[in-house]
Amino acid sequence: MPEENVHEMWSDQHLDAALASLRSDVDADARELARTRTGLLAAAGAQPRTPAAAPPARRHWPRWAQVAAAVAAVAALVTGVLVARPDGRPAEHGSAGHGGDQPEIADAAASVQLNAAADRIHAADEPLAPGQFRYIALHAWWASFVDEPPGYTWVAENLLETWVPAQEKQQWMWRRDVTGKRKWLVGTEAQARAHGIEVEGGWPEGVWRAPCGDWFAKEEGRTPCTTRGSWSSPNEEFMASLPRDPDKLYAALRAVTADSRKSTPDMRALQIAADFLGSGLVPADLRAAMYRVLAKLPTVRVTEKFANLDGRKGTAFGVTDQRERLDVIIDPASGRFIGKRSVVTVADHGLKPGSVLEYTALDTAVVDGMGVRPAR
Amino acid sequence: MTQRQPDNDVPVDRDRPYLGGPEPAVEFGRLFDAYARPLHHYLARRVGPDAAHDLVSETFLVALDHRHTYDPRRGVVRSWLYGIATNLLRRHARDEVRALRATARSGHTPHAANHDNLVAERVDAAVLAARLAGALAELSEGDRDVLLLVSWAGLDTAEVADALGIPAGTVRSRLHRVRKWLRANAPRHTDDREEADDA
Repeated sequence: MPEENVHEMWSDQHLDAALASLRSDVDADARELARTRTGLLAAAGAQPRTPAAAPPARRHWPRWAQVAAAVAAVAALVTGVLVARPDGRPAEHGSAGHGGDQPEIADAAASVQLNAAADRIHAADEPLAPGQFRYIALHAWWASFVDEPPGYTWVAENLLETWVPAQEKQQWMWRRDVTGKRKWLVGTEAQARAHGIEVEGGWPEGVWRAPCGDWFAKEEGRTPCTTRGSWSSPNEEFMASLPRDPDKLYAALRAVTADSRKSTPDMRALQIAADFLGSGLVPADLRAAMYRVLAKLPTVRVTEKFANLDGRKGTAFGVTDQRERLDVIIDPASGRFIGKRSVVTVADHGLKPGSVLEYTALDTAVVDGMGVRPAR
Repeated sequence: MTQRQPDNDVPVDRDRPYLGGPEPAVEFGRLFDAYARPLHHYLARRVGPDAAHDLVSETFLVALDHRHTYDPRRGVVRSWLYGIATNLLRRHARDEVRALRATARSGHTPHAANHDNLVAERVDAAVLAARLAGALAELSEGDRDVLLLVSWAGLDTAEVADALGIPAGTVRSRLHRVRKWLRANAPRHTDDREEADDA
């Protein structure tokens, strides 16, 4: 083929014209952007009905490998403590087929035990007498990461208490306390402080009161109780709309995990279920149905028969993806949802496989007034 | 717990907001409204609209989680966001190169039909773009970032420097070198090569 153009040289105008025309016709899906915005604002605390939720970027901690990589980019802008990782750790994001041996049907042991736990749940929750509140306490250790060599990882203790009235549209109360207790998984606090790394802060503390638990409605200029419920922000209407039939509920959950690109569909399903159950708001019949749904997840396994979470014992059911294992812990005797934890499965950034990175323990009770704690 | 407040000497404004306040939802709502759509457009041109949606989402979540590390004194928030996005984009580098080569192949035929005419001026914009795509695929990721942050995202060289964490002088010299190389080499990218090696 003739090559008349071998010595051709574009002008700057040619180059700019080519740059301007290459893929200039892409457009954003407005609805998709709107969904992303909603998710972002929920993550930023505009989260009416999940008072118990962790700061989301910390909630699914395996994102942190990406976060660490991304933070490297901002080295020029941050306070001078974050620098680029030299290794540029590859982060493959295949949605399925990792390991190549995923079974088609659920694991028998996990399935049997989850269904047994569902059977143990009483048909209904303890009813609230007039003036009583449902008390939901979350004891959480959430992780922070700083990627500057040698790297730091620590977890900070958070106590979150919610008082839920009998009628959703009555006043709720939420108390959030960052206790100041920290555990260091990689590095030490002294080293980090010497490095100028801020180890405190970032999370709001205080007491909020609002109908529907819609704590931030005012800041966002919304009328409380006008946000639609969802898996991540369940309200009574949303939960009433979910089927109790396990097959139908499974389909409903799968509908939101089918296009999971960031993790395996089962991991995504377990994350959603763990946050949903961890809200402490899910009624008994729906809780039982959720356990039966988890029993259907092909890659769920019994990961620890006698797991101890925050002093409470239960069976751990987990899903493992490329980086982490997420366990939900359920008391087999009562069917009570005890909490969830993230376990490191791949040595990375100084974290050792097998170590528990984060956990959140749930406790619920009926109490005699707003702000009253249960007697222990 | 101490809540860090903006220092008095920090010029806080729309381009350099203080993100460390107790109500991030308000500030991040504004950030999203100002920057999500152009950021998506930029990312979609690089890796396609679907991956761009994921990247926009991740960029803002990373920004939210690290809002305390944004220092308004060090640069405008746009640079910070594009810096985060650029690093997240790394995971898609292979897909980007593959797509650029596919675009280059699609632009091959018109040029071949034109060969006895040999006037580059007559080659329409689509063909120019296709040739450019082939040449862009040859660049290093860092060179591509600098070029496209300027040309597609509309950042100035100082903003690119902030985004990538490199000196502004380096950005300028890199941009000059990349443009010169493209001007000489893009016309050659008629894509006669077999493309089986792009996996």
